[in-house]
Amino acid sequence: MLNIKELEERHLKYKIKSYIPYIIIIVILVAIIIVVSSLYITNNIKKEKTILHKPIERQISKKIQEVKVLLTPSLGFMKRVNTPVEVYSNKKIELEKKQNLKTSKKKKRVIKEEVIVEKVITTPIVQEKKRSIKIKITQDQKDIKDVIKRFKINNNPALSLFVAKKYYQLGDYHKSYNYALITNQLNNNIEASWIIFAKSLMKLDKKEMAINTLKKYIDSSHSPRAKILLDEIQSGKFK
Amino acid sequence: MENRIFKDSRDVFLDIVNTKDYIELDRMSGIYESLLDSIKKPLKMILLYGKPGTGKSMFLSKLHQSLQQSQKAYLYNTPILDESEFFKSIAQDLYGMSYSGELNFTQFIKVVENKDVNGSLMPVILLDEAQLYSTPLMEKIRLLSDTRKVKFVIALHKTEKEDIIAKEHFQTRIWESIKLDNSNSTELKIYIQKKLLKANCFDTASMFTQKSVNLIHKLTNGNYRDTNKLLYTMFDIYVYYKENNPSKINRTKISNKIIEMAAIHTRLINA
Repeated sequence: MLNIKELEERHLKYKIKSYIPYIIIIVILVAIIIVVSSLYITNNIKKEKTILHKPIERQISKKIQEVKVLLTPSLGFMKRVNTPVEVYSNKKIELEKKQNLKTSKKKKRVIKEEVIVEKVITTPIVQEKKRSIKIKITQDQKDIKDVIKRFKINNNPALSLFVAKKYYQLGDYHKSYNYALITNQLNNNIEASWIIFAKSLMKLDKKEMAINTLKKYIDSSHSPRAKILLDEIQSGKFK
Repeated sequence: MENRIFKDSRDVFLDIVNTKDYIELDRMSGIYESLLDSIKKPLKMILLYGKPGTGKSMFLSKLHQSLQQSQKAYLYNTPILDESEFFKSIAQDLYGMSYSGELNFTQFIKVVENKDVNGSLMPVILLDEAQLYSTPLMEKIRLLSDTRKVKFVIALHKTEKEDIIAKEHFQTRIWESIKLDNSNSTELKIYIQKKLLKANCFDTASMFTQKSVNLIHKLTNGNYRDTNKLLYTMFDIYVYYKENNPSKINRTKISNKIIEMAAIHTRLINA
């Protein structure tokens, strides 16, 4: 005689048992999917963060570079250039004071002696001046070489503009013309570059070309600085 | 009539060897025909083997029934393990000789050798469950078959042990070796439906879809005995539901749940 109720219970247990492997597999699969997707999402977030960071960093670096260009090591250089002059002047004052003191003390001395003292004082001053100029040139050359190296690596127009300005300051107008031209080729919207370019042309005795270049640039950009420079060139103020 | 349908269907699957219940399947019919042909040939022995429940007993019964119409054929469903009793039974059946005392092999083989046999009408002894016979008795059966006065059809289970028996005793003497296998899913469906149709259970026969038969085949491996057992229990459950909870019965197809419940009850499923 069949015990149907017991059989039904056993069947229910059997069905539950038979589903257990499938349930385990599904649970494992779901767990794997969750883990994989969470890893994927976190990776994506990281990537997004890095992607977001990069332009900011670039912008910052650009700004830094721009700032560098605006400030330019030439300021530091100028300081360096100025310091010996100041030293010189201080020394000169001191020497003058000393001289005055000496002269006041030795007023009653013979004039020949004063001339000798003056000669003694002036000669070292001239020597110091000469030395400081040499330092300045060598440091400028080093700066320019470093910047040119960097420029060759990343082709940053800010660097080429810096080089152009530097050469212009040093009076190498041919090179300043070349670097300004390169800068314009890389980015034709840098006002300072066009101005250096025009100034270099003027220094190279190519006034007409400088005027034409500035006119064309003014037409496209309406740059006030360029207009001022053009007026100066045309009026003959710029030399 | 309505109430009896499941009871009748259940009784169809009672595990009884009855030649009336023999179901002709294409593959089995082919094997049966080749077996009949083999018996007509002047061979000494025929080995019929297969796993339990593959229909060997039913096959032998059917063969016995067919052979009886044309020649002397005797079927021993249950092995006679005592040697003297075994020879006395064969002497009684083949030659109508009854022995009150002991009949040993030497006496019996002399009797057999002295009998005349007409060619293909050689008497046939069909031995079911032959794996139960002892090795010495099997050796004597072999010697009896060597006299060419009696033919043996031996049915045994196909196991490793039975293979050894077959090799050791009958390797050179067996002229025909026939293997019976479990049915495939299609054959099983035909088997079930033919069995039900034979008993006029048309409604239940139509309830078996290929899916439900596939499940039955999966549970029984196509073994006829297991199938009969499973379906008997299954229809028993149907009888219960019909009487106690008819709403649980779907009349259009056999419920997989009830098949599984029957399989749990018959231990085809360990639950």
